[in-house]
Amino acid sequence: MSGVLKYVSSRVASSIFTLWAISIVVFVVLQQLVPGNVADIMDGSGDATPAQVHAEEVKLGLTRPILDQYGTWLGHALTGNLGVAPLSGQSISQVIAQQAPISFELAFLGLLIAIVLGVPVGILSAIHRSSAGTDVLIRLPFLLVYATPVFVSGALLLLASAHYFTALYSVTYVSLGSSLIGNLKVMALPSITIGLTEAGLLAQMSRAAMLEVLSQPYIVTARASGLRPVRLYGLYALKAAALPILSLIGFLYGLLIGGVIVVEQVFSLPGMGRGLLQSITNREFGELEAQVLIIAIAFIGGNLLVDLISPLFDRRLVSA
Amino acid sequence: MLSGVVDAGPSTRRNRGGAWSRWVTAGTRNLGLIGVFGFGIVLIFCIAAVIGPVAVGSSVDRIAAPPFLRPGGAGFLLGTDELGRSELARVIVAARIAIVAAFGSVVCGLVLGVAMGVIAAYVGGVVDQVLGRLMDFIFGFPSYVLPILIAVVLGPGLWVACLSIGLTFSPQFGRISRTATLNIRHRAYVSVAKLSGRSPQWIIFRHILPNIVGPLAVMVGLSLANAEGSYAVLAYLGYGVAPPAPDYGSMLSDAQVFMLNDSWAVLFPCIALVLLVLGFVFIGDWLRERFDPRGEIRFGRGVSGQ
Repeated sequence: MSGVLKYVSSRVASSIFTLWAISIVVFVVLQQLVPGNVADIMDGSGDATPAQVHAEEVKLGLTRPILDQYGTWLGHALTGNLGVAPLSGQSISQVIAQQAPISFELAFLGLLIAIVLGVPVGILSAIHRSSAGTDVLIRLPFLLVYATPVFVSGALLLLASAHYFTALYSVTYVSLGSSLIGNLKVMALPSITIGLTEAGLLAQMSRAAMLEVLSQPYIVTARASGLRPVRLYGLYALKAAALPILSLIGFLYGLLIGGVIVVEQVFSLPGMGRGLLQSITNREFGELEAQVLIIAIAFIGGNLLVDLISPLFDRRLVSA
Repeated sequence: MLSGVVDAGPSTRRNRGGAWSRWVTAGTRNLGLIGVFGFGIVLIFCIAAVIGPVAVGSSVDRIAAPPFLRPGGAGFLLGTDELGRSELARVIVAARIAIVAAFGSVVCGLVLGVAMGVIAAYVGGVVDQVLGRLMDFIFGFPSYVLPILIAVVLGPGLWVACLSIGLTFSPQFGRISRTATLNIRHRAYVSVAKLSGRSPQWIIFRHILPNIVGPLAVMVGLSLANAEGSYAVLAYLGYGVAPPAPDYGSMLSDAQVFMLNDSWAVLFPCIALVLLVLGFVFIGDWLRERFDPRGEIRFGRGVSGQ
């Protein structure tokens, strides 16, 4: 039991440490090193006097020592107050609350498509490896999809939708709250874009994981002793391959979040990835910090979840 | 499967003694179909990268008279882009940036990662802990986020992109070299070298690095395709080389604006990019078959950060 406790606590502690390190690096390092600040951007035309810009900097607290600013920000953030975005005057929490659901929905749908398509194909192509034709036929399309960068498949799907399936072509976002069908229509192409790319990778990876399991002596023994294929693959092999596939999904999750950023750009969805790129352009570090941290929380949290589920498949992970 | 079919042709012609056919025979035998395709595609891009800019010359930036975004035909084989520049010239010249970006990123990741992994395992203790934390930290960023942030700090550019993409890959190389180093650190020949007064550098370069070449080669193969894709994404988002240098990612993002009316210009950067990434995927596949037939090395994070 203490092994389990030790495992869980060490995983949780290391996740929190990484998050904290990311928060300090994004806030302190970026704000110190990036030329220009939001006061310069607010003075877009450049006709403010230096004294006016400086006054604005003082008002926004940009002249205070950086660690002091970080301390204040962290204290507020921990109580849920992320501050106000200087350019728009909107509360950052509100901005995030508008952006985050879009990104999370996209990530969820994309991962769902990737798992539903990728894992069965990978496993089937591993099982049918001996018949070379089937193996190649199953693998080739997925290799092709895997080799296509996410913005390329996104652009091509967008192009195809404009010409051939116009029902899915859309340039305005419809929120989930206002219309479920409208929202799903808007999200369909972006989710398929992400899902397809990730499915290609997942198929590759789960094929490799399954092949390794199938080469184990106990599988050969089980097959030789006449175990029915359903039982052999479905129970014996899949159980052993589940752990590597699970840790692959954890890894995939990071790629998926990166994919969300790009796809939001391709399809002009007002999500957090697009917001992040905008915050960079506008030097809105308060907003950027919040967006990077929420993306990092989603990523590290997902990996933590995978780490915590993994021992259910392999007890040796916690007994060591 | 198909390599046998390919083999049969040249071997019957061997008596004619053509050096080319002998070369092809040896190539298909050693590389297999996947390897031949992979190395073939990448070789074509490498040739374009070396001689392309010279061969194409100034026509890469030359602006033709309207109509812009014209479809392919006589004069402009692949048509022109939105400024009236030849698509063919730009697709060829962009190969240099694509090849440099892929190999540059992987070399950066390899050097950084191997240094971290070997030092962590060889020195151990606090150093191991600190480097482990550092690698966790780098891994804590979802893909593209760290390169984007680095590009914001250092300014966009090819070398910044290589360095930052390499940095995001370094934990992969670090993890492999750390594990491999731990496995051989206490072998007899390492202890003997230590006892006979060899310096740690000598032991690392003479005994440890040669022992981890195989796994590292597999990881290099897996990383090349990823590096190319990552660079293309950065370029697409505007953090690649500065215009007017041709680059598949930025060519696509420029052409996408006009895509609905003139879809012609979108196609060629897409095709070139997918072909190149596919070439790298095939090379990765071939390296894996050769050095890691059991598929033990994977792109991804080990459970519990080991």
